[in-house]
Amino acid sequence: MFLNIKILLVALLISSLAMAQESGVHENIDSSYPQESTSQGKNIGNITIGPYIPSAIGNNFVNDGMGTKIGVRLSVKFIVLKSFYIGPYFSTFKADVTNRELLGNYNRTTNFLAGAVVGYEKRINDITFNLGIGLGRAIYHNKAQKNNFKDTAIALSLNPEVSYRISTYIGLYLAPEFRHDFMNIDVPDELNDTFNDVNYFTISFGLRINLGSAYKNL
Amino acid sequence: MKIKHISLLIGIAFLFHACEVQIEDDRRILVKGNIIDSSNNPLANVSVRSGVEGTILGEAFSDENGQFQFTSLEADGNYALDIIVNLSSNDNNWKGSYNIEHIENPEYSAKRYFYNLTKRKESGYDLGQIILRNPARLTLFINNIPGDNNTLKYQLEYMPTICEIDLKSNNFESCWFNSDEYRHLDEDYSNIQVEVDSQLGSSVTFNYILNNEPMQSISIPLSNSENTYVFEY
Repeated sequence: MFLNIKILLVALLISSLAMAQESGVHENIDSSYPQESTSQGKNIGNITIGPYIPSAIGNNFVNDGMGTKIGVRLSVKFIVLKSFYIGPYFSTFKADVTNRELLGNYNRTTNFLAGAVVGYEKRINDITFNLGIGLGRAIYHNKAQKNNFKDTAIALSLNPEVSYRISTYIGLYLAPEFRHDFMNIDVPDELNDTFNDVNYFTISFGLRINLGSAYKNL
Repeated sequence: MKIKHISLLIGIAFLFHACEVQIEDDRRILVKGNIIDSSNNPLANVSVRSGVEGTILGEAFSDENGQFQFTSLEADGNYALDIIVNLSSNDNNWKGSYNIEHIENPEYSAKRYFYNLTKRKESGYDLGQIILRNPARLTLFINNIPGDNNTLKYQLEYMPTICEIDLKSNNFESCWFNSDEYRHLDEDYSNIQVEVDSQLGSSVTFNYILNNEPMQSISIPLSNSENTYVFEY
C-alpha cells in the first residue's frame, strides 16, 4: 500500500512539473490580456472526482484488523461567499477483514461516507488551494458468511486540496485528508480503544471540473 | 394471475429473509477464558466458537498458556447463543445436538455453553477456567440371571463427555446429566448393554429399583478410558 502511494506521489509530481512548464508558455501569451479580465468570469464552484486511498493510523479495528483497498471520492463545491464554499462530499472504499479474533467473524466491509464540506479557496494563477472541514455519516456495510450488518459513525475531516488548471473547465487535484470516525459500536470496556474511533490519513487525486467561467480569461 | 405469482415470490423471499439470522448492528461482545486439563496444565490450540443457528459469530484458539480472548458479533432476534469449546460446528448441531464425533481433539472432552434468553444485553462472557478432562467410556452390562423373573428400573447419573452449561448459572462446572425417567426391564426385555460417554476421573451413578423395592445406588468410578461393569439381577 505504501509503495503504491509513493509511486502515485512521484507520478503526480512529474506530471505537475510537466504541466507547470506548459503553463509557463500560456502565461507569456496570456500576459497580453489586461489583469482585470481574471475577475470577469464567474466562479460557481467545482467538482472533483478520483481514487481515494485510505490508510488507517493508530490502534483501532481498521488498522489492526483490516486491509483497506482503493476507493472513490466525489466532492462538489459551490462558492457561496467570495472564496468560501460549501458542498456535498462522498467517499467509499472496501476493506478485507484480516483479524477476525479482534473484529468478529465477518469477511469484508464497504465504507460509505456522505456528508458536507465547507471551506476556503485561494487561487494563484493556475493553482488553487482549498482548505475545508467535512462532517458526515459513515456506514460500514459488513459482509459475513451468510449475513450482512452494519457499523455506523460520525466522520469529521480536514480536507486540504491543491488543484492545477489544465483548461478553462478541466483541472487536476491532489487532496490529502485527515479523517476521524467517531464509531457508534457498543462494546465492553476492554474493547473501547479498538472500536471507539478510527483515524485515517487518505489521499485522493484525479479530475477537477470547474463550474463557471472564472478560468476563461486567465 | 401474474400479480398472484409475483406476490407468492415476494412472500417466499420474505419468509427466507425472516428465517436468516440477523446480526446486530453496531455491537460486539468479548468472550474470554482459560483452558486447562485435569492436571492444571494449559491446553493450547483448542477451538472456542460463539454462534447461533449455524452462524459462527466469533472464534479463536487457545494460546500456549491456554488463554483465549476474541471479539464476537451478536445476533439480533430470537436466537439462543452458544459458545462451544473443542467442538466442530455445522448448521445442524448448533441446537445442542452434539455427539462425540463433533469433538475436534478427541483426547479431551468438550463443552457447550448456552444462553437461551434472547435480546441479550451482556457485553461479554468470561468463562473463567475451563477444565477439559480426558474422555472415558463405560460399557454397562445389565443381565437378568436365567430363571429369575425380576423387574428392574434404572437410571444413570454421569458427567457427559460434552458438558452443557447454562451461561446464566453461577457454577460453570455443573454439567451432570441424569435421565429423568427410569428405564424398565422385565422378563421379555432383560439383558441389555449400555454405553456411557463420560470423563476420566469421574464416576457414573447407577440408580436402580429391583422388584419395586427401595432404590439403591452403585457408584462406578471411571479410572480408565475404557471401563466395563456388569450388573446381574
